[in-house]
Amino acid sequence: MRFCTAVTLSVAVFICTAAYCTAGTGTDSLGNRVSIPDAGARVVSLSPGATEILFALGLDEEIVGISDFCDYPPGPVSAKPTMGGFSTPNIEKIQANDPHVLVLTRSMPIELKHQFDRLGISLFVAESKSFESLLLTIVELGKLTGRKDEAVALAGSMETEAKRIVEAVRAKSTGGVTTLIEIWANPYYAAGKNTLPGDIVRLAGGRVVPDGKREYQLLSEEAIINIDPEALILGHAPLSGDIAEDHRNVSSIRAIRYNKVFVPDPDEFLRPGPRVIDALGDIARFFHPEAF
Amino acid sequence: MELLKRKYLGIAILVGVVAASFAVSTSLGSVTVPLSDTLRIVLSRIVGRVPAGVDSAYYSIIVKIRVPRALLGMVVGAALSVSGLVFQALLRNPLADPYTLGISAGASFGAGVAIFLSYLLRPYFRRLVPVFSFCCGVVTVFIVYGLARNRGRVHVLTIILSGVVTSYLFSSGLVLVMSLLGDRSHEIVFWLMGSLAGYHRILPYASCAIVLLIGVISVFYRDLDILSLGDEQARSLGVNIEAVRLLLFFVTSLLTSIAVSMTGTIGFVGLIVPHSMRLLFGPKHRRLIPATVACGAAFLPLSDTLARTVPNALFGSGMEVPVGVVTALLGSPFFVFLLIRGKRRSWF
Repeated sequence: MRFCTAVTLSVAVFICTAAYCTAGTGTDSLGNRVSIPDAGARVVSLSPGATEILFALGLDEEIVGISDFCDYPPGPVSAKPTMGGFSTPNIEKIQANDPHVLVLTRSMPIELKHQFDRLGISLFVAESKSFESLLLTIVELGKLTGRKDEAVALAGSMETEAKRIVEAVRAKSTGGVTTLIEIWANPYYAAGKNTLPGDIVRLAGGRVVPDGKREYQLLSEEAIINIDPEALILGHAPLSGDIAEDHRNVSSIRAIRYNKVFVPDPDEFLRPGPRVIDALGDIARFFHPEAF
Repeated sequence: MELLKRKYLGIAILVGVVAASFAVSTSLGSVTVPLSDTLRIVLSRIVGRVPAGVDSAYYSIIVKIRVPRALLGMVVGAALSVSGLVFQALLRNPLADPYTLGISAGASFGAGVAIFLSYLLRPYFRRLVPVFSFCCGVVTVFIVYGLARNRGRVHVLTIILSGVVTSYLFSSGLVLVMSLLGDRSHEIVFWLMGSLAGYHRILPYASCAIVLLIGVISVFYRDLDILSLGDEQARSLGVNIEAVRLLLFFVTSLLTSIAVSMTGTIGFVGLIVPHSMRLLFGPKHRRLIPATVACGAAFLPLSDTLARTVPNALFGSGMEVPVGVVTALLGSPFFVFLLIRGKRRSWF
């Protein structure tokens, strides 16, 4: 009897260990540990940034669905079925593709979360509020999908490139260029320093204004004139096609008077994906062209 | 005998319409599940067995996604339609709908506050969105009724006015919460659009409560007929209008608040369904109440089926259209058609 129990226990421990070994486990931005099988993993990404990361890790086969907004890398994404938007996912289509995990940028409305719990689909929230947390997210996504080595290499190369840029601008920078990151112009809506775009601007040699704790905030024209930023970085295409026309009411600020306005590729700048490094380089060159 | 036949025929038609709506919303979706498989899955679930030889993904789609969603649509559709019917009778106003007394604004404010607190204090508050919206919806009705009450009496016009004022107050509160939330306010925006998506753990309890409340309303079908004639006539016919109106206001408000707390604000159902049924079945609430329940229970799941299938069929997009858009687009032409027909002759 005792022998039988021992054998049963040993078999159970072996099965559990084997299951653990074949499962990739990653911790998402909310601190939840998520596990999926290493081999034959099936992933749906409803975040354009995460989609770029997953493709960069070589998970072409494992990605079984993307969001309607995922458009990079152009070739591979065109072959993938779309599963709706972040807050309006097509649950049926997702279930029909039988994924193990759904990668999102933010937590879902609670009734959708309950629906995915019921279907046995794990949610992995990849929310990056800084360059460092983006690198961490890449590594955790790598651990989750069994591509830890590739993820560490990708994060490493991004970190090295960022260090090179930071070193190059450090010598030229004296206190940082006061910069307003304009996410939208009508009404004015700005990103703060505790956001990924804010962190990118900081690394590139800028000082993000307004200098508060809030991530994104609405700003009045008066507030912008009072802040008087030296540079303006747009997170959107100019609304009327003419930046000066869009900013006629705040034309007295230094950024407009001295034409110190830069429009990076919004997808590179705002998406938490591997291409932020390109935006970082472009913005650093805009601040300090002589450093490169 | 003739009357009896017509009565049973009416019931059979109503049951048939609801059953057909359930069948259509369970069979259609962005993923094509063969009809035979759908039938086998639904029938085997009814007898409590798991069907053999059916794709497990299909099984999950039908049992865990489509059926709960169709049931939610039926329950909410019935609740909103009956609420609209009762409010139109109580307020003697053809433009009255479940949201006239500001329940929608109050419930939206409640949901907004819960989402705001989930960011400010603890994510746990996101679980309390239905509770907050339900409570705020009910509190709104108390405020509206309190404002409208004068020397123990409530005038219809005053209650509509205080409903409008309270609506504005809560709408402003909601806008304030949204501006404080900044880029996080999208969660409130999606809540405001209204949707039947997702799994609601409280659905069985909410359904029981809705059935019970509709039952209570049905008891008062005669009083609703009389109240539609006006206060003076109702009083002279011996109806205690203050007590009946108070009771029906609160029962109907509870009904609306339960529906809104689960799905957000879905417009037009509470307006279009009762009016259509009135044109088809005449003004008597003995027929109107069951007809409105059945039509509401059939209309909302059908609209939702279109909302989740049309974008995929036309554009290959996985996205869903908010169901409120479909209810309005479908309902308006149908309503105009009924109006034109109703002018020429009375149906039934």
